[in-house]
Amino acid sequence: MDFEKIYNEYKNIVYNLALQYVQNQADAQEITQDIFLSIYKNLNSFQKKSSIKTWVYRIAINKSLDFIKSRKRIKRRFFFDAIRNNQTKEKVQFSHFDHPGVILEQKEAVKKIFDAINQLPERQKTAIILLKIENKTQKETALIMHCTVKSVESLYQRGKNNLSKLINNEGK
Amino acid sequence: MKENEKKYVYKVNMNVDFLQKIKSVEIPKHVASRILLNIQSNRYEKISAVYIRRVAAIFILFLVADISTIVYYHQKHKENENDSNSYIELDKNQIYNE
Repeated sequence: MDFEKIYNEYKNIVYNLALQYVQNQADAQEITQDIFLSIYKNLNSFQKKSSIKTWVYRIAINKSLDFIKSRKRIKRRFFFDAIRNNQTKEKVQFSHFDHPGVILEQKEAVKKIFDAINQLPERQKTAIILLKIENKTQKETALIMHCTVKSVESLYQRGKNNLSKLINNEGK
Repeated sequence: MKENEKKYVYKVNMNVDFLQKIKSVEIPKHVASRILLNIQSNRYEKISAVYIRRVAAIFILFLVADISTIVYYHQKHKENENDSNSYIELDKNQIYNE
């Protein structure tokens, strides 16, 4: 398999998926590089048990979640530093909302939804992103997430309910 | 279904459906080419890093082997010295006793 061919075919898919997770162009570009580096390294060990598309999606999701985890670790460190320096009132934010796929008029509304999505458990978040933003079918989502269609359905329903609770609580 | 529940379900669906308005974007061309270049050049960096690490590991192995050999011979030499000293002392004692 030719790496360049895979890169040209999937670069936009991967970039968009990373954007849905971090909602920031610079971070999404960094994640895209990490994803393709991982694909480049593991291309020879790809066993073709799934399609290349599913494999690329899995790597992209895992790398995006890893990136968020690493950011949270840094954030926690900064938070403790802030406690030490009595600066807890200031909210430490790393990357602002900068999603190029959202038009200006809807920016505030979409940001609010994404703020809630970011608080969801990883798998619920992934189910919502794949089904509603990436427009994948339940079967495709199940393949990517390595679970059954029923699990995807239940993850999506729970995610949707939690999302609504979070949005309503913020509004109060 | 109660009226409140209906409203709740409608609101939930509205929130999620709103996400479908997000458009798909293309990665900027200069970024795409930079990423490809970075990845392809990274291979050589990785190879050189692995090579340097191996050479360093072999060097450390030889260093440890050398040090342990020196320590071993030093101890052996000391033991030999001690042995010869005790012979001398034994001789002296023998003289006095006689």
